[in-house]
Amino acid sequence: MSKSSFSLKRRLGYFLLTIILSLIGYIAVIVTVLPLVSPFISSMGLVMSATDSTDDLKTGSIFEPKVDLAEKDTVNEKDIVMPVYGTHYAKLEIPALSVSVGLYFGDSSQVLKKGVGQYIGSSLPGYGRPILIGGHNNGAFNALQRVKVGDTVAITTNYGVYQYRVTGTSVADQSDKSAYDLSQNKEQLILYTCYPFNTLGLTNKRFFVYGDKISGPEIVTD
Amino acid sequence: MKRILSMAICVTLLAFACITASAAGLDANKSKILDSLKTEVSVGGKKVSLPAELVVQAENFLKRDDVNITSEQADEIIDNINKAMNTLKSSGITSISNLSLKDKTAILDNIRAAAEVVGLTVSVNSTAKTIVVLKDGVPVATNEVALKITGPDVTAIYVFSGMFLVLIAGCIAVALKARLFVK
Repeated sequence: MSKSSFSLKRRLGYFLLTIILSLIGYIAVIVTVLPLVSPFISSMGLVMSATDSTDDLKTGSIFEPKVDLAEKDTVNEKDIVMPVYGTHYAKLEIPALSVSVGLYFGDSSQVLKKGVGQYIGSSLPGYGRPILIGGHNNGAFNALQRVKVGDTVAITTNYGVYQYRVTGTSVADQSDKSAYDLSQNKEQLILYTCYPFNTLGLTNKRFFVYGDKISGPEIVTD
Repeated sequence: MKRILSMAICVTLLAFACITASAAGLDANKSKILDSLKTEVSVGGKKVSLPAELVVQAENFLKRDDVNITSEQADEIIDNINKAMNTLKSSGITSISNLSLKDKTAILDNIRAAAEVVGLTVSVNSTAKTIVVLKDGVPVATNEVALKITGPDVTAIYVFSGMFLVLIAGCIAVALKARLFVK
C-alpha cells in the first residue's frame, strides 16, 4: 500500500469517524434531553399542524357565541345545532390555569391537534349527562397538572355558557372504565389527558379531572 | 356480553343511517328507534342492552339537523335491529366472537342493509373488533374505546432517529469496506 493511499484512508477515517461519533452523540443527547423539551416540540407541532393541508378530516366551525348568552335559564332544543364529528362547536376555559382552547365534537388524532375533543358517546353541555373531553398533555391540558378542587371550568357554546366546579382528580389505567361513568344521570364534566404529563411516547395511564355543573341553561323540548 | 353489545350497536348505528334532512331534536320516528335501542333483550338467559355511550352516539346523530327519518324508514331500521337481535337470541351466545360465521354474516348483512337505505357506510376492522359508521366519510358512531391517546406525537422523532441510525450503519459499512479500522 502506498503512503499516499494510506494517508487518504486516514483522512477518510477521521472524517467518517467524526460523523459517526457526532451522530451517536446527537442521538444520546436527544434521548436524554427530549423528555424535557418534548412539551415545547409538541407545542410547535400543534401550531404547525393547524395549517396541515394533509388533514382530510372536515373540521369546520359552527362556534359563533351570541353576546346575550348569560342569564338564560333554559334553551329550546330546537335552537341547538348538533355538531358533526370534527366540528369546532364551543370554547373551553379554565381561568385559574389560563386555559382557553377550542372544543371539538369528536376526538380523533387530527381533532386533538387542533384543540380538545369530546367523545361522541357523551352528551353536549346542558343535557344533564356526562361530558367526556380529552386533550394532549403537551397542549392545553398540560395545565391540568396544576388544577385544584374548587377551580371552575367554563364551556361556552352557541346556546349558553356552562360552568363546572372541579370536585376531584384521579389517575387510572386507560382500560379502567370505573374512572368515568358515562351512564350516570348527572351532568359531570370529565377531562382527561395522558399521564405522566411529561412522559415520552405512549402511556396507558390517564389523568382525570372531574367537575359538577354549577350553572348554565337547561335544555328543554316543546 | 360486551361483544354482543358491540354487535347490537352496529345494527343500531346502522339503523341511524336512515337519514335525510329535517329539524333538530327527536320526533316520534327517531324516538321510536331510540326506544328500540334502549330495549333489553334476553340472550342465553342473560339480559343484554346497549352501553350508554352507544345509545348517546345514536341520540346525538338523530338530533342532527340533517337527519330526518320517515315512519317507513324507522320501521325498516327497527326491523333490521330486530332481525339482528333475533339472530343473537336464537344462537344463545352472548359473545359475538363465539358466534358462527353464518350468524356473523347474517348480522352484518342486516347492518349493511340498514346503512344502504340512507347512504351510510360501515367500516369493520375485524382485527381490532371495531366498527365505524360513516356518513360521507365522517364518523357518525363507533364502538372504539372512549379514551384516546393524548400524549406527545413522537412519530417524527422516531423517523429521524431511524434515518440517523441508517446513516450511521452506512458510514460503518463504508469504513469497514475501506478497512479504515485496520491498522
